[in-house]
Amino acid sequence: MPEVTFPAAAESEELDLLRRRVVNVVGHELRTPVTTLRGLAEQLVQAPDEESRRPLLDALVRSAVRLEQLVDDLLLASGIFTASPAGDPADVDLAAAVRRAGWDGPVQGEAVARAIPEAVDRVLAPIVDNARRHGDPVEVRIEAHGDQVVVDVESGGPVIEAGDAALLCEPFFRGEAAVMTAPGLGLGLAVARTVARYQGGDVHAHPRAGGGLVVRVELPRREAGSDRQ
Amino acid sequence: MRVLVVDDEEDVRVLLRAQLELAGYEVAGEAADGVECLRQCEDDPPDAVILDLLMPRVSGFEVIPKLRTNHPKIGIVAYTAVAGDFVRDEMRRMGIPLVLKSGQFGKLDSILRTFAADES
Repeated sequence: MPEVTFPAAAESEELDLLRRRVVNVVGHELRTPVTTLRGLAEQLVQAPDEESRRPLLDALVRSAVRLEQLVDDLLLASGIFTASPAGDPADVDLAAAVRRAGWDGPVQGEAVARAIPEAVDRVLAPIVDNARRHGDPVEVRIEAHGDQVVVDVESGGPVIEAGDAALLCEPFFRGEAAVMTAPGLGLGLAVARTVARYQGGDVHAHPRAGGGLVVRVELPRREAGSDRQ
Repeated sequence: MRVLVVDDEEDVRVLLRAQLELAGYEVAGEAADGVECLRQCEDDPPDAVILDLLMPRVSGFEVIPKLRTNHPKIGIVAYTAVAGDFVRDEMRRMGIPLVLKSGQFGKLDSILRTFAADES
């Protein structure tokens, strides 16, 4: 019979703390779309005409999409990569990808990555969204380094310790300020990193000089020399 | 009664607007964060505010004392998805009724009615 081992008390306490944190965060984030879906469905039943049904139906679809996205993020963060975008690698213009992710400000530099386009979008979306919602000012730079392309999304904000910045790429970790002011699973950067790694790249976060955060996305570069004009 | 709906989730605002209007309330406006909430309360004070607690820029926790100071007559009901001990204790300390987000409107409705009764 195999020997059964139990975690040390300190490790057990840490796991219990983590479990409660995960359940709390997941519960909070899943509860909103689930309860909203229920309420919207009940209102739809009572809506007297098409004009009042339309906004309820639109909100119903948005809530369902959000729920699907949350479940995909949870699966990805758990290392279950069936939720990672599948397809064939292609040349991806990173400046255009940054725009698709919702950034409408200036972009310095340009480069072309070799990756699944939907995966690049999935990597950039939470990073750009975080910067747009919480950072001021925001700068986006794109460069090629050897066989890699790099996107740096730099956003101003409160001073973040180097250790906390690194932890932001871990699932369910949320910065001190974000806990009180920003809903979310704390999965955005963790999901971005997971998807980037499936593409042969990575995501890192480090403190910005003067406060805020720099999130660096690394992706494989298009074949050497072919993106030099 | 005129009610301001404050939540950073658009779908929650759509739902609350529909529920309020069906129940006969007037929706004074919608706000997606604490900054917008405070601005609307300055411009056109409602009778009551349904206030999400976790929002970008300025949270509901920060809005409550400001409203209490500048607009003591506005009824405030905190509306949140999950409330642990900290949230419950804070709301109790500030005397703010707390409603957990659900698809149903009954509890919000009864609290809004107590605000209306207090006014009259």
